[in-house]
Amino acid sequence: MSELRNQPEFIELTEVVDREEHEFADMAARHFKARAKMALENDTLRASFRGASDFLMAKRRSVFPDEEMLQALRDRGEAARQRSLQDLPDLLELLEQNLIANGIQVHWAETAQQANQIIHDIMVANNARSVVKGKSMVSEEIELNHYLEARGIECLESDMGEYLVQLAKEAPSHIVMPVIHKNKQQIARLMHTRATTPDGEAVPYSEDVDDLIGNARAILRQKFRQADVGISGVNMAIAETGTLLLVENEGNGRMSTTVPPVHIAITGIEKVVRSLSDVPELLTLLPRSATGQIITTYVNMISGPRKAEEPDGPEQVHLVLLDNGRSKMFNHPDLKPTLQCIRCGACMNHCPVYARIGGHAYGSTYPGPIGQVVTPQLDSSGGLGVHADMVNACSLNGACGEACPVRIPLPDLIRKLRAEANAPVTVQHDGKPHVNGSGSHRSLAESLIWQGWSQLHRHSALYRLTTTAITKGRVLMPSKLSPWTNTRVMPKPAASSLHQLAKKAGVPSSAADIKTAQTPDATDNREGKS
Amino acid sequence: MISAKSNILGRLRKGQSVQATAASRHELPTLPRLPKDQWKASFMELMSANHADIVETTEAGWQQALVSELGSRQIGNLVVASRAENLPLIEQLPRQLSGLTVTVFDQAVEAGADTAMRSTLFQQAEAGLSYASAALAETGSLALVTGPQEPRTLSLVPPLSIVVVRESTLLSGVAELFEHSFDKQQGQLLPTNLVLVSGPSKTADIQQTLAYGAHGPKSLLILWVNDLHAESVG
Ligand code: SF4
Repeated sequence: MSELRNQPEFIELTEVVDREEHEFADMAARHFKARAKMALENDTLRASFRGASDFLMAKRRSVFPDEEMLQALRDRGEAARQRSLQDLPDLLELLEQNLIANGIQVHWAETAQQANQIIHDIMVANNARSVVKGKSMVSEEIELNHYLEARGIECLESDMGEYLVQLAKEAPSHIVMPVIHKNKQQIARLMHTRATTPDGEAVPYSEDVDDLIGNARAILRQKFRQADVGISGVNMAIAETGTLLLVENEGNGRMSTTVPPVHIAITGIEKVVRSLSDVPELLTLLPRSATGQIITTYVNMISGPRKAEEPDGPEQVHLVLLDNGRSKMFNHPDLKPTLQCIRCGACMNHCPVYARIGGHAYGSTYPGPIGQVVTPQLDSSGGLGVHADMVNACSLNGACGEACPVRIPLPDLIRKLRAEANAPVTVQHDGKPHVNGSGSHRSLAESLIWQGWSQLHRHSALYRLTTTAITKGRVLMPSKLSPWTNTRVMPKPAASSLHQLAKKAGVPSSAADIKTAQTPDATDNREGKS
Repeated sequence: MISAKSNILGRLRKGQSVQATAASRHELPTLPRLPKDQWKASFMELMSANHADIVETTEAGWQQALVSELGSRQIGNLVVASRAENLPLIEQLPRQLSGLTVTVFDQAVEAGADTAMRSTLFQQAEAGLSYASAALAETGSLALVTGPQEPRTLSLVPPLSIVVVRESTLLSGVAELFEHSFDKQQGQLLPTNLVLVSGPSKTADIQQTLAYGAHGPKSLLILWVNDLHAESVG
């Protein structure tokens, strides 16, 4: 134990870091609404997310100077992903065949549990005790670290953000920038009190980013050198060539996939593309949309373990293909575009809700708009029964859909999931696949209100009667309607309706016209629950 | 798990009818490629913006340029691959620069075991010398084809990565690289590890502040060999 660790300042800072850990654990244990409220009340957290969102939006804008070009690129990105999905089962088989030909071992996992077990079995077969990890959201999705640590295997995250999040005993708050919820001072305290240099000392306190990164670098280099297994995600798997493509800036991805004797990659089954010719447009869109970079520092394309004549590289490469609900999304008539996602994070960077409540409030591996869409559909998540509140945390402003490089209609999908959560139980039996927990949040009062709403807009006489009653009885409206009016002013009906005003002004109207013009809208609104 | 595979594929085959048909590549307007007269400027600009140092030199002069860079950066240990191009360097460099050790990357970095090569790489090596197979203009990238002559860790572990690249290998971008060099129909296979490098390693994970030298090299030095205009420059 070094001197430093006995100093009163050190002990004080340790307490601050421990308190933050407890705050996180406390928040994580609560329901969505409570989590969102806690996040909104935390000024430091809000400043971090506001700053990061503004920064990332500006960066993205700077690399898409030409609007027409951007839209043309998005068309191509969308088409590339859709083409992949169109042939998905064939592409997966082709991928497997070519990976095997290249000497890469392929494993299929239907569930998170199976994926964890496959990875653990590979470790056992290789007598592996330690893992160093490159960034992989899928490994977060299946909670791989917990699984392996419970079996006595040390798992170290090596992406700088992930490493800091792991030191803090928290979870990533963003899929691309895992530690954006913390500021420099918080990270300085964290490194100082919890990190240990290769000599077993505490890291000196510093808020200088170069120092912080330098210290983490020195610690992690040692680990890369010694780890038995490297685990990574995959950004694209290329079927025709049997190639795993990874993008990154730090070099930890290359380290994890190159230095340890065994490399295990894990990916969702949707990440496959047919050929190298599908890569350029997605590679153009991904870093630009994610971090506003023209390209990442490294594009790492792995097409096999080390060959006999090669001096370095892993001796084994494995790929685990994970389903965990994806093949169900593939069968859903409306939610299928969920699988187009390339995990760039642009939707969360542009989401006004995410910017305010931050990633942890969602309580899921994937936060923000894509998280709202994908989380309830994952087998391991508990479905809409657990996550329906998250789906409601959206103002349907549409910013995410406009930012998405592969044109996933995120607001539509969020509306569809709301409708699913609120669907009558009877439609679950009409043969169509449904999201886990569909109908779990159906409320009789709510469905009656929407039915009434729909009737009202279908029958002009009833509609006029109601508007007349409301305009006449406007003085009787309550001035408060909690909880709506806790943060809003109660709307007051006008003294006369638009119809009455139009009539007074002599605008001709026919009941039949109004009826046909309004019916489709009314139906849409009801289904979308917007 | 054979059953996992057949269950997954079975569900996917069932869902294939659900797909809206995707636009084919040919239905969409093609994206313009950068005109050739802008390639070099684009490469230089993007690489410099990403903090790479570029030294323009010639076929006859690049080894001397290497010597003076190693000297001015006070590099004490350089790792090079065992390839024909390096033979004269291995012999001459230590003579020209007293205090420089040149280590040849010719032993296997044994799996798991902390061999001499591995500890040289992680502890002593101050620079690694690589050769790029191509330069890409649109993104400012170097393509490294790894293999016996270009070990994967050579351009990754030492704090300074030096890359020799010839102007004649310059291409518009990654699409052209794939078409040119990795067309499977033509029997051009990908190496076990193809890496595109676009600067020294970096991170902006701490409060969006950019820091260089995250896990890979802290600096990238490019020796740009102007082999197209040998006479005029020479
Ligand atoms: S949904 Fe679109 S914007 Fe969001 S992460 Fe996926 S690809 Fe990016």
